[in-house]
Amino acid sequence: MRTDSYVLKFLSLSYLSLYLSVSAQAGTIPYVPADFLYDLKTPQAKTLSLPSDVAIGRQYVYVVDGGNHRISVFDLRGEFQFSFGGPGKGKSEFDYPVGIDVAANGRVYVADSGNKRIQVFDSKGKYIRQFKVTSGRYRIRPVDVLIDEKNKELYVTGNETHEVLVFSLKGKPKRKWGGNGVNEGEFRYPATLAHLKDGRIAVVDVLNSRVQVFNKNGEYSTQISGWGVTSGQVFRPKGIAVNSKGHVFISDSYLNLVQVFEDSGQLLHVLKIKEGHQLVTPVGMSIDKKNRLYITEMRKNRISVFNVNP
Amino acid sequence: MINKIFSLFLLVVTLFLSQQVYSAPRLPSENRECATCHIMWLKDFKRNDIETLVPYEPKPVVKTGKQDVASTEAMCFSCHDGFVLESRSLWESGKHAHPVGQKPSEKISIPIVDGKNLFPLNDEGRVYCGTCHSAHGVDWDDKESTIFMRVSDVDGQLCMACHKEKTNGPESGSHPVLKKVHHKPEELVKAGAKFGKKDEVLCRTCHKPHAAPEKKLLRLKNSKSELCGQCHDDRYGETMADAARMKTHPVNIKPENAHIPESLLKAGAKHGGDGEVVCQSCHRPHDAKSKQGLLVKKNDNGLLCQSCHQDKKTVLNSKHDMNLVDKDSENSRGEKVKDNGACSACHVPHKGNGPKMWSRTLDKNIEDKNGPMAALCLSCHVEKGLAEKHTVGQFSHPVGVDVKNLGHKVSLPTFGKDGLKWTDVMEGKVSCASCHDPHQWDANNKHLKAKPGDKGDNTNRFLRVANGAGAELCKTCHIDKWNITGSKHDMRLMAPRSKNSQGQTVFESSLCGACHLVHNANGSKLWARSNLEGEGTGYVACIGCHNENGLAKKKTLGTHSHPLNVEVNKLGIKASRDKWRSTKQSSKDKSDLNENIIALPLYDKKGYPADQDGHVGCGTCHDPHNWSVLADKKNENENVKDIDGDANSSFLRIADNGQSQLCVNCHQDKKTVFLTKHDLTEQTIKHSVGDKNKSAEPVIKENVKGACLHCHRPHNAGENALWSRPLSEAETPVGKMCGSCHQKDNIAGKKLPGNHTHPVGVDIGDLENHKAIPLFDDEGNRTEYASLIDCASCHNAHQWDPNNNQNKRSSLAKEEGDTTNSFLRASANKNSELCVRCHSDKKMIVGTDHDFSKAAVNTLSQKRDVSGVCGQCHVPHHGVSDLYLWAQPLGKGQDPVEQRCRSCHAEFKQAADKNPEAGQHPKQINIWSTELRQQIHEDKELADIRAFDDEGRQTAFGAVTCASCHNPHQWQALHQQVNKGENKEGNVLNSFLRNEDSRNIVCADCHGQDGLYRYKYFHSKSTHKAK
Repeated sequence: MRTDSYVLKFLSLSYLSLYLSVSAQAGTIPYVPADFLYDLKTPQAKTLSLPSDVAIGRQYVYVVDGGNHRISVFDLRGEFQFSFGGPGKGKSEFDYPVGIDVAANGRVYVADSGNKRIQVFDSKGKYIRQFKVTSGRYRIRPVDVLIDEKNKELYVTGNETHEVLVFSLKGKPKRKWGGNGVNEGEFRYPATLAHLKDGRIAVVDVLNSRVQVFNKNGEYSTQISGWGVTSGQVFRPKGIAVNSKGHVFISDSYLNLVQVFEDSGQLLHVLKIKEGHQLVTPVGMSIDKKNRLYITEMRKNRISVFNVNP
Repeated sequence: MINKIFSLFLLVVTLFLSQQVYSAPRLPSENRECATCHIMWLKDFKRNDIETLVPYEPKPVVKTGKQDVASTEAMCFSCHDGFVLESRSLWESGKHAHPVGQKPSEKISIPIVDGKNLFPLNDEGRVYCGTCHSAHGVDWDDKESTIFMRVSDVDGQLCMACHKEKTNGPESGSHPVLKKVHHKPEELVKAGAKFGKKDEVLCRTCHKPHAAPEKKLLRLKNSKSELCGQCHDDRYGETMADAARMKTHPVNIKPENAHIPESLLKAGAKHGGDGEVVCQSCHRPHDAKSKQGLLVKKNDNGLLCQSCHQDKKTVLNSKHDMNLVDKDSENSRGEKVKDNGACSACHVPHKGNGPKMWSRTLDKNIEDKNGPMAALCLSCHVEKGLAEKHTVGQFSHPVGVDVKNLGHKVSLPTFGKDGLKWTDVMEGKVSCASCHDPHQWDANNKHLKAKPGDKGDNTNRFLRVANGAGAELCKTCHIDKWNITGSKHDMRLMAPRSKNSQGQTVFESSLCGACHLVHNANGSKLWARSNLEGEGTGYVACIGCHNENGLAKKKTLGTHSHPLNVEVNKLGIKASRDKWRSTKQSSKDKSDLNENIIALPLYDKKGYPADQDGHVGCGTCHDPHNWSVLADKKNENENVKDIDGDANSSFLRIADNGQSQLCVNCHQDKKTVFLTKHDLTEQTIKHSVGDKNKSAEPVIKENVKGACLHCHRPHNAGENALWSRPLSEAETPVGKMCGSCHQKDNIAGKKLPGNHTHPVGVDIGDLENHKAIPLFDDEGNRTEYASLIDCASCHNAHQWDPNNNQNKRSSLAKEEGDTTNSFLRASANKNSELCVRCHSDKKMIVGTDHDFSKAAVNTLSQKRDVSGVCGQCHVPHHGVSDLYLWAQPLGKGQDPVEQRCRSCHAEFKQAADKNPEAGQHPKQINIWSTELRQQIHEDKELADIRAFDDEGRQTAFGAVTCASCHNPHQWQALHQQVNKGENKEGNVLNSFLRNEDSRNIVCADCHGQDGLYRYKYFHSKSTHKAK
């Protein structure tokens, strides 16, 4: 009998603890402060207009200045250096570009969305090449690019066909996966891409309000976050970035916040920005080696830098 | 047992509760799709046990939303940001969008359908995105392409559904819509402009509801009428020149004299950022005040024009106010001035007929001839025009001429090709409006009015500057004429009561008006005095006064005066208006013949300045406006009437300066007289002048400067060559002039021709080479058909050395001249070039035995190299005799011919070995000369035998003498044969015989076959002896 009561007490206490912990977790948002460091500085003549993404190279930080149809380049301290591009269809011209990535050799890959192509430049902005983005016989609008250094491949999200397309670095189509839908492996407007620490590919699935994870061949692995308005859920996910510890940062451009997950999908925390700096439409992001998070705030025409050291 | 069951129950419940927290992602469902935008419908917001990432806001938190956040801009943007759909062009910063969050104005009327606003407002009655857009879509016709709009926008019906007041066209003061455009401007199309199906203009042609780059949702900037100018490109210029060329009101320029008043700005007028006139200074595309032209302010009676052009209001109640002249007169658009105002009589703001937005018909001929600006005025100031009582006449101040010819800036307006106006520049053309301001009657009082019929004077008549007695208006441009003041041509001083052809004294007409009329003049030079008959070359005007009965009767030209109406090109000058150039080349004179030639005015036959090769007129030498070009000669005497002019004044264009600079400017070839023995300037000369036709009245002038004036005078001269010295008693006209000095006890008293001198006054017109030297007529004129020799046939009085015009002999030098100079036209030494110009048949003497050796001398002690070949036997002056002008001592002979031959063909003489002892033919025997015999034997070729009279001259019937058979100038008949002075014995085929082969010719006519023996008898020592 005594044993039964011990069991009962243990279970009660366990239940109570579990309930409280669960209640506590379910009821509150696990905010973690993020120190605002600075905004990338632009001279008046080079003010950003509806920027969409940011990528960090060895020497420079590259920002897709979409409304101005150009790429603005800053040093690692956030000082404007130069810009390249302009509106148009020709070489080194853009039509509302969206995503960007920088290779280890310094080359810059830009999803020239309106022109339905990828353009490649050297680190100084000198044009190297371009190639069309096609899926089958259709030319489609690329949204983001992601470089796979090891396999010398380029991942591109395609807007109209809701796919992830893989090309060689020179633009030769290799494979693709996805399609319009709500099931695993399907997308409704795939947006940004990122490598997880183990090399898997995370794809932001905007209108499905989730992030899906695949291996390099497109085999579904898992899902991070889901649709909703509570912590750990996303409404309009746009940007994604992964830090040195493999934590996955996801921006939500309607909820105006960034949430941090384990790559297993478990929420770690929600970034709480200090007063005086309200995130407005955060989209594309990038994290440097010092674990500084660069957030593109589209409607604010700025790139804000935060310290998110774990 | 119960405890176990209870524990198990608790475990299950715990697991169930945790599942609630870590629930799987929601699967798509209809609710899920709605919540893509309607986020506030999520049930999580209703839960008390969880904290949502955003607060629950069922009502819009912004004025621009409706219901809840689903219809807010933030929600729309969350997809339309390029990651789902690319619509960033509609959200760009700094751009303009259709207002949202505002209540519509009273002018807006939203259509009602089924009792509801077709375009709903939010709960506060404000416009929001959903007013025009619907995220749920509406029923569409398949052909309509616009999506998510409540109403399709085909042909602008979406905008016009609410903005009716802006779409009713000019009748309601709004820019027309649904009207076909002339063309689709490229820049506007590039900016995304929409046109109707048939290229009609729509609201969205100019306006862009989202992300418009400019205020008022305009697609293009319009601060300087750029948008207006896209379609209305025929009236959109960027400069005054553009406007002038388009004949339209200027835009995009900052007005100088006009000013956009504050009242007009308040009425809705706009200007460019820096005060420039723009289209919207006068026009409003919406809410215009006038139906016609969409004007900011009604332009009845030109009130809109006058708002800015205040300075032009002076035209009202002046003679140019058409309301006073003829209020029913119409401009070229049929608009009556009484309806449209004074300005409209002459101007329309767009699509004018000419410069200054002219609204009257222009005469193309006048425009081509006088320039476009003059054509404006002359559209009325012509016969049968509105101002036919005020025409300009045949002779009027030139218009359409370039003022750069004045050589200075002009403060009066000048005009460019399209009527563009300039001031204070040295370019542009003169026009009527240079002197006249058509908007202001009186030059000094802008308030002074004048109605048709009022008489004007030189202080009004729309003149820009009053032109009183001092001719201030004329002086503005014609500054170079101003030296006339105080001179002998200043009528205020010289003839204050004289009247011009319009009956005005100089004080009534102005200083210039004494001689010139700006309009309706009497002839060239805008002459204001009576015309004289005859063609003018710039002198008709002058002799209007300078005649025996004229105002300047003391200054007439005389009978013999410098020629007029002649061309200077005959003097070797190529003359154009601003540049004269000598066409003569001098191989020896290395100086630039063109260096000092000053271009002087020349005239055409009508007296107008000629651009090329004109004729000499009075004005060529005289500038009637400038007494003297030398400063010290100007106005040196208070009483100008007492001043007497000289070669450095007298209105001459070039002062003499002791060098006859005016004369030699044209007569360049005469410059060679300077510093020669004929340059008398080094001597103090007293000479008298007189005109043959006037009673002798010697006028002594002393110290006359300049070589030319010692012998010539341009007016009131002697008979020939404008001679200014008393003529001698010589027999020929030129000889008389030369004899002025070359006579005993005169300047050249030591240089007389002598008793036996080359004949003058002889007609050599039949001589083959008679053109080789100048010949004269019996009045001493060198004309085309003159044939008389005179002194100047051989002598060039202006050049000492014929071969070197730099070689001079000062009149003070004592060296004697010789046959290489002495003012000869050619050298007479060596081969006697001067002599053989006429006596070319004598040339063959050169190289014969009669071409004397160097050692021989003539009676003037000249050796052959000085005297020349001819000069050994003949000298033109100071000969031994008139016959042959012999220059050797005469020998003994029975006739003058033989005496001359015996100068050498005698014992102890030069040709002693050629001495026919009995050379004379019996004197009592006379023969007929060949010339006479040929008249009988017309068909025979007779030998050439000459007969001579007692005086040694050839005659038809006369004696036989040496020259009967011999031609002393030609060794062999027919062709030249040179003996080189070898004194060879000749034969019957040469020996200076006249005939080629004298064997059967000499004496044969009389003496038959033995004529040769006769010949030998006369000439051989061995066959005869002297008696």
